[in-house]
Parts: sequence; C-alpha cells; structure tokens
Amino acid sequence: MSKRALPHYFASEAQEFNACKVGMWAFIAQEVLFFSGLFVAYAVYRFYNPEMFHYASSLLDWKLGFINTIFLIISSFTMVMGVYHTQHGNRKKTLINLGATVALATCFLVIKSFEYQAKFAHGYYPGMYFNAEGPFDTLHIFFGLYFTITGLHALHVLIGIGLIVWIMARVAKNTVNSDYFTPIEMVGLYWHLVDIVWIFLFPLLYLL
Amino acid sequence: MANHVVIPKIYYQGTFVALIILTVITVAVSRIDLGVLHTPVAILIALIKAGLVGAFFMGLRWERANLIFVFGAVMAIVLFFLFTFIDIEGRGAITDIVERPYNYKSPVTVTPMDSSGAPH
Repeated sequence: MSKRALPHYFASEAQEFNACKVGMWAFIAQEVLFFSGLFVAYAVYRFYNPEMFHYASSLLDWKLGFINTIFLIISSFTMVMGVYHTQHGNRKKTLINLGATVALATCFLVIKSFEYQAKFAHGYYPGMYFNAEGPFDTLHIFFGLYFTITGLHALHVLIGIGLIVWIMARVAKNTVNSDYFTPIEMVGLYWHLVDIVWIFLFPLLYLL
Repeated sequence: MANHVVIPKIYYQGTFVALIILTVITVAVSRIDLGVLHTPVAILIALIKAGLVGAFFMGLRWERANLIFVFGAVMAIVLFFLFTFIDIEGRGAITDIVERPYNYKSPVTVTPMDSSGAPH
C-alpha cells in the first residue's frame, strides 16, 4: 500500500493529528453539555419529588443495569486496546478487540431492549402514553426522564457501533494503520464518552 | 506518526481493573443506608471513575492541553446547576416574604378549561 498523502491544508502529520484531536475534544465538551440539560432536569424533578424517585428507581432492575455497566467498561477497555494494537501495527489483534467492542455494545442494547419491554409490560410508557398506577401521581415524570436519557444514550451507543464497524473496515483495508491512526483514536474518544455518561446514569437511575 | 505518544498498556489494564472494582463498590455502598450522603457518595465514585477513563483511556494524563475542554464543560455545568437551584430553591421563600407584608397576589388569572383545552 502506498503511503497516505497528507491533505494540502496541513503543514505536517503532527499538525493534522493535533487539529483533529482539538476538534474532537470540542465535540466531546459539547456532548457533555448536551447531556447536562437532562441531568439538570433529573436533579430538578428529583428535588421536587424525592420519595417518588426513590420508589420509581426500585422498579428498575439494578442487576441488569450493573451487567450493562460492566459490558460498557469492558468495551471501553477493548476499544483502547484496539487503538493500542493499531499503533503497534498489529492488525489482527486490532480487529479482534474492535469486534469485541461491537459485540459488547450490541449486548448492551439487547439488555436495554429487554428492560424497556419489561417496563412497557407494566404500562410505563414515555410521556403521554404512560398508563400505569402507583402510589405517586407523578410517576410518569421519572419514566419520562428515564426513557429520554437512556434512549439518547442508547442512540449514542448505536452510532458508536456504526463508527466502530466503519473503523474495522478501514483497518481491514489498511487505510488505518500504525502510520495513520487518527480516525480510530477519535472514535475511541467518542466511545469513552458514551461510557462516562453511563457511569453517571447507572447510580442515578438504578441505585437510589 | 512517530511524534505521537504511545502509552504502555499496563495503564489501560490497571484502569480497567480499577473501574470494575469501583463499579462493585458503587453497588455495595448503595445497599448501605447512608442517609443524605447516599447520592453524593454515588456521584463521588462516578466522578473518580470518569476521571480514570478521562486520564488513561482518553489520554488526558499525557495531553494536558485538552483539559481546557473538560474545564470549560465542567464550569458550564456548575453554572447550569447553580443558577437553576438558586431559582427553584428560592421560589417558595420569595412568595412567602412577599405575601406576608404586602399581600401580593399573582397577576395571572386562572381560568378553568373545557375538554378541548381552550379557556371558557
């Protein structure tokens, strides 16, 4: 394979890499702020309805949340090992690690869908479709937040799966390798952000 | 890309083990009755875990300049929470103070609504 040509608007590979990295971090900061609105909404409603939140949280299965947390942490580790093996030019180990990341992310979504189904079975639908009874008339607020926050997080997981599959294709074609690994490192940063968001969601939703 | 820092994998393995242990600790402390400290402790552990992910998995330990983005995002969140809670925590108090000495009433007239949602 011939060496990849540097885009004309960069002076050097180092400059290209640093520019991409700064852009990616600006995007990550923006993503954190994007989720922060939902965390503030959570805090405000919990401030007004502490007992209801405590009760509603007990309706969620913390064991499934725990397994999903472990899945995401392992997937973050396999992601970072994928980047590591790319930098060391080991294509086979890169693909194994990225494949494991995709598999774990898929397991996460499968478990999440089972959780959603269990909630729907009790009438805990999001928003205006909420149709359940309970000791609190504000119960729909918790589930509205739950479905919005975990739903947006699941969307990020889904996008992450797509990005990692794209990176795997590029690694297989050898357009991402030890000479040029900017894309895999950027996708890695995105994937760790998805992990961090879940690290906060797990205790706040499941473990009240 | 020889100019790039390649991080020894022992850092990644160590972070991974620490994250798993901290997740178990998260669940363990949530089973203990800590009263008002329940959520602060959970958030503290989550912050430590996020710090580990950021420092090692995301490489902030070796690229300190990118901390400016973390700092910016964290400050924005602090302001977001601060002003929101100054508002919602102070609302009742303002009404109480105004009501007693001035007999202040809301300028909004509450009208009953029919089934279509339109006021009578």
